[in-house]
Amino acid sequence: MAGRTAVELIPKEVSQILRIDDLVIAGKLMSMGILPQAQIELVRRNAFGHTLIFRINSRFKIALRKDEAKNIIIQDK
Amino acid sequence: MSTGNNEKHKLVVLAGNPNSGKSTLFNLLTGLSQHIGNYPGVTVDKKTGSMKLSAEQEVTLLDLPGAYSLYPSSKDERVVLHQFLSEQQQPDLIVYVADVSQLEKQILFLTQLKDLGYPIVLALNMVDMPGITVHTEVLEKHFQMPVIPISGKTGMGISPLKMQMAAMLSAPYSFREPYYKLSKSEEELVSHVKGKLGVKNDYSALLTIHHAAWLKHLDDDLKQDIHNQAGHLMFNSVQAQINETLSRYDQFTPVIRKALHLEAGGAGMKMTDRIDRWVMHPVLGSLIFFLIMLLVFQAIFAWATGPMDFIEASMGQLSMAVRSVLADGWVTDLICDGLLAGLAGVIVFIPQIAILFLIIGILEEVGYMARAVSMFDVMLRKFGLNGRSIVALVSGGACAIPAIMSTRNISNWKERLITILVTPFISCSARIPVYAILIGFAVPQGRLWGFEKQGLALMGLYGLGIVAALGAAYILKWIIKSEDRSYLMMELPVYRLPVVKNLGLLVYEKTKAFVVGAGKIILMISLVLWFLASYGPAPEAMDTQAANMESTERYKPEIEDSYAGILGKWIEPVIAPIGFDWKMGIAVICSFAAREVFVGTMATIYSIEDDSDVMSIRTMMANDRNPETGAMIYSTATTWSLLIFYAFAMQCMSTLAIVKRETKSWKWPIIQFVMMTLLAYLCSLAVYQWLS
Repeated sequence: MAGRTAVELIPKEVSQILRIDDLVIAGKLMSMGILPQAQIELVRRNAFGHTLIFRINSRFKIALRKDEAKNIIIQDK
Repeated sequence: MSTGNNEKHKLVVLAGNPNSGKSTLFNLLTGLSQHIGNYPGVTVDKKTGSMKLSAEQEVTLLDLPGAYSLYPSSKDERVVLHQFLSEQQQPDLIVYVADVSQLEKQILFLTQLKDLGYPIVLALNMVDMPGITVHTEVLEKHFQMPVIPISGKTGMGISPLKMQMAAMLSAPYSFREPYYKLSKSEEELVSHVKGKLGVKNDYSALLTIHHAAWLKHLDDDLKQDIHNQAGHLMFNSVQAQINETLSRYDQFTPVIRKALHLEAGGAGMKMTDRIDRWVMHPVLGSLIFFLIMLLVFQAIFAWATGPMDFIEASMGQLSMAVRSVLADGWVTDLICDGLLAGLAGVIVFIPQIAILFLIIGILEEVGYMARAVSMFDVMLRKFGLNGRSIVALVSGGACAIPAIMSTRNISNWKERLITILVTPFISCSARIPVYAILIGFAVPQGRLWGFEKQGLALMGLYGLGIVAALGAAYILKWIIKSEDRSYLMMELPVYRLPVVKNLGLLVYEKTKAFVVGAGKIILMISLVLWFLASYGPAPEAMDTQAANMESTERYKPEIEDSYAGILGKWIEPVIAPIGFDWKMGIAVICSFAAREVFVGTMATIYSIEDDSDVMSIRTMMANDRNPETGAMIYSTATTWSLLIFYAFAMQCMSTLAIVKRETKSWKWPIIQFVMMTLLAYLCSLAVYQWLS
């Protein structure tokens, strides 16, 4: 079941995480405080879109690779 | 109730997420009593210190590396898990440090530690930041543990914390109810394994099941048994970890939201956003990075030369003073030409090393390094490295040893290995004195576009090191194979002013580690060298005379006829093509122990040769001429050849020892040694032949 991924966010756009697909990535992200239901905002795209900076729950920022962020499934507009 | 002094000290463990301010608290509690090993033979994994809780009670404090959970994804985090699962001294108390502005995501690890059955006190750090209101009683009630608000910056709340620690250490603790209730299949597995493991705690057994594959203290039969049983029950470890994490979050998230009120943009978040707009900008950000690096090198040249000249001059005067007081003889020679010359070679580095560690420490503390990691990730991945490698590559500018140890948070083995192998190419502070003295011969003083020419030459050599490191990484990327997955996932913490005490301790510890660790080697080599350069095989006629104890006249050979001279002459055929004479040969051989020996070696050789002791080593080297042709020994070609050789060659025993320990085999340090030294020789050969 494909959905919209965090990679498709446009800068400054805020959405909510529905689920995280890859189990291993999900485990790591969750221990860092990124879980389903969390609010996610794309702060900026760097390095030609290969590195994405997100803000989670308006609390903290995290840098993810495009490959990592594409596992984060977010709510449709 | 009272604790006798002869009793073994109780162990208090500091745990918490990265960026929780754990190290700041550790520094506050232990001060200068802490012990950090940095050199071979000392365990580096652990930062320990002792602290007094009361007049009669002293405890040992252990600072664990920062971790997000007990499901480790890097070597640092594995150290944390190992501390709790293996049979090391178990903590009597855990002080859990959490950044109050990030409380929601720093509590997961706390609830896991609680389930292991330890008494815990929760220290809420940074409560003094603006925009934060916290109701500690809500947290105390829910987590069933004392909560103390503290500020690592101002020292607020430290005495209440100490009192709480003392009270908890003297009272018995009974573990009541686990925070997380095991699922059906987890329960079954745990009950199967628990007896065989000999553990009482359910959660400890569960963690052992999850991590059985790499835990060192389990034997193979038990591992196989756990594996079989898990397969039999169709236990999916990764899914189980996720379910557990989610269940924990479900329990504490509402509580944290009730207990904590945070103003939007508070706790420095607004300021951080403003700074990041510049620092994380794709173009401006890289520019800022290179400006910072430029500043670092200018700072080293501008700030360190004064103190270094002072140290050199004072040591020279001390040597003269000793000579004027003591009678002439071999003891005086040993003290002045061996001991003092060697000692000067060690302490003269202190200013540069301290400045480098200070600047790198500031960059880490304010939170800039995390930005650099995320910015350079894409570029570094092309070379088979990870964004995190930037920390090692930058720290490598100070010393390869801590740099190589900093690679432990790179979870991908291949990326980590390549980082370890290429980091020594980055010019470390030990090369600076060699560069500094040689650049003086090769590059005239003066300015170019407002910059010191010699400073630019130094930067060029650093640039060469970076090119070599990246080039080697690119080649290694195709040679080394790995199936591991690679991650970035880098948290970007809020910018903070550095805590002066942390920086002071960091610079003190690192400099001390250098002086004690590398200093020992340098001093030893200076003494050996003094002997080799002062004595030589005596001509036959002298033999009987030398054996005669009555004789006060010592046979003193010319340096050319000494053991060192013979050794230097012996390797001359190999080093002649790259423009080195036998004196440089001696220095190069000695430098394989540690590069910084070069200047000391030169000092020893020249001061033995020329007893005046007045001229600085720089002048003596500059005045040195070929006795036959009268040409300058340190010609441009020879000097550049030497510079290139020192830029590339693997000349540091301590680094090789660290690489051996970090890679757990002799294979990699040997490969590294051959690769670097061969490259050094070939490049020096090319440079010398081109320039002469």
